[in-house]
Amino acid sequence: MRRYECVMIIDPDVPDDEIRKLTDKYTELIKSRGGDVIKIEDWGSKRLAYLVGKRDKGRYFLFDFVGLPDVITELERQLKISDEIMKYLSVKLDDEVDLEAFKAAQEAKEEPPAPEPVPASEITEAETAPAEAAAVSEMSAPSLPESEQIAAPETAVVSESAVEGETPVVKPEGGINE
Amino acid sequence: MSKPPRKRPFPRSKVCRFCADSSLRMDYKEPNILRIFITERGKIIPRRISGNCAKHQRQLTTAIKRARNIALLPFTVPRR
Repeated sequence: MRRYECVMIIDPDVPDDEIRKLTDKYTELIKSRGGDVIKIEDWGSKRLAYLVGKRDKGRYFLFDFVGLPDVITELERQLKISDEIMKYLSVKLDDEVDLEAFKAAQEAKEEPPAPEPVPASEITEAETAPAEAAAVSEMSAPSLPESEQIAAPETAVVSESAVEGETPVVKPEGGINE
Repeated sequence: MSKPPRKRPFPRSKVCRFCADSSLRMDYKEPNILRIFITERGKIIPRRISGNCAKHQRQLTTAIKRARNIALLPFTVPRR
């Protein structure tokens, strides 16, 4: 089993219940091939850095799942066919994952901080964060606990050094609209 | 004997920022961090200027390229 991550950009005009149907469909697909979904994140509607199919916004979804390689081929085939999916990207995170051992480890990890252990199979919908920054900080927090432990007091330093960096922050919105 | 004119020094950092600060992590899902390492035109800043170590620069390039692929970062920023 391998662990994959798939980011997909869905047409922002698609209503919420349709999106729900889509995510359910892909979850089913992964499960029907012996995989399992670890989490689904909804990053909300975001501005795209460039136009995709003449649209400048997209709804981002992240699927984190475990499965055999044929899950990816089938999933990508389906994503390609679907009209609602504007773009997608799948990344392999881990080569060898034992599903049972992984689940146990996840539950053990989740137990101390969160009182109610969420089953990995259940869709954990992240709250839709309207602000981009909020979404970024939200998703960065749970996924890398060890680095935060090491350098928690340095977080302030990071943002500072980011500001004084030699390159000004690129604003993609400006260039693209004109 | 005349010395060749000195090239104007460009601002460069000497240490790899990812080595110095382990909390700064690079991930294609975090465009705001990656944005520090691209120019205004959307190009990846070379190692000799950003001061990154080889290992982190390699990881950075893949991260930036992935981010470009899902429209979190621009491929190019057209000149006005």
